[in-house]
Amino acid sequence: MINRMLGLAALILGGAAVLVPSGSVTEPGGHAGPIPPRHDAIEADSLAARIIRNGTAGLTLVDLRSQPAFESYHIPGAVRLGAADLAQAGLPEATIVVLYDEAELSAPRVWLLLKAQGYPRVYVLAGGLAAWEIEVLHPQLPPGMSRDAEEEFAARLERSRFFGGSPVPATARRDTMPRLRPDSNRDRKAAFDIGPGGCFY
Amino acid sequence: MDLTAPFYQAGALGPRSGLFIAVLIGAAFGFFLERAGLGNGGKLASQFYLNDLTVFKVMFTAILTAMLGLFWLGQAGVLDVSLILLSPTYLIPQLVGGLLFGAGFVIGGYCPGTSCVAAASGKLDALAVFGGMMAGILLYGEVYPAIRPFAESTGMGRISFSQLLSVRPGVLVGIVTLLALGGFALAGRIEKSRGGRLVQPE
Repeated sequence: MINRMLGLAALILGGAAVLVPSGSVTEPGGHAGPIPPRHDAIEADSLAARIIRNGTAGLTLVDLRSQPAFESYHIPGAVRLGAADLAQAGLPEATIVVLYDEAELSAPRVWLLLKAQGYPRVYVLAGGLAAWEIEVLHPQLPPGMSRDAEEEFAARLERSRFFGGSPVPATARRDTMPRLRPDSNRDRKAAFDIGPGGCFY
Repeated sequence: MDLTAPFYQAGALGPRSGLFIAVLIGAAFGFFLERAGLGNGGKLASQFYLNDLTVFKVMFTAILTAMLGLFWLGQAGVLDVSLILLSPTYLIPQLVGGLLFGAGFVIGGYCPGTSCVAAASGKLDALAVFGGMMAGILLYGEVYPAIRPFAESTGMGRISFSQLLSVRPGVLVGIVTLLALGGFALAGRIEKSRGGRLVQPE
């Protein structure tokens, strides 16, 4: 009996939904509407702009990958620390802490640990080093860009050059993209600590 | 109305209270899975032999309840549906993952959630599945950089069915409701024709 009543209720609610016009329905996050801001992460583009503007002053960039991976490439100014090292070493509380790994594999877990320890300003690099590679080092020129998009892309090109990257032609497939090169940030180190620290946003 | 869900994304919950509530919801989820009989590997696996379609009915009831709840709470302005995270679709890798998942489900008798539930009630087969799942997660994390080109191939973005089919979300809600209710009726008939649901000694 109760099954039939619940079924009937579902039928009424489902049937009524058909009558709702599309304009009054919000789609889940994704294609429709602006992407909701993440309070726990910073986009690769924003991090690059922040480093170019202020250097790494007031910023602690933590690379959570292995030592060989770190030596092969790391975001300029980053320090390598494992999750266990972090718990012991502690971090300067006054700075903004940005954690990254290959592709947000272990960084969210470490983010949670640091938050639980009371660090107020901890962020994960959205998409990890993979996103850094695609968005900052090797941005791809999309075909048929609008004027706004062209201006945005010009800014991306500048950021890419700053970090020793190179843009990817619009026709190139992403999986044939040049991989992170060792040494591409070695000559960039002098460019850091060029100004006082500030906020990300 | 001031209070808008989802509470975490809307800033009404901090990380600590969010974690606390996650534990409560997790406990409730486990309790109801167990009470629905989904802590029994034999019952779960017999779904694939069409002897006992409890899993199908529980899952579709959950889908139907969540779908109608989300749709109508969104309409009432209590829930901001745009803040709900939609996972991106990668068609071929997810098809392959689904096949692997199904094969593991038939062989092991548990899916991830039910293996936790059954392990908590002391079932050794579930503990083995749970251990295997953890090992698989670690292994996937280790090999991910190597298989990333495949895992990120055939990406379709964050896309919903109504966008893919160019159908109004309300119409899709109606269709899924009819499919679910029809599925329940059909499942009951199939179970009867196969001699009734499996009853296994605990």
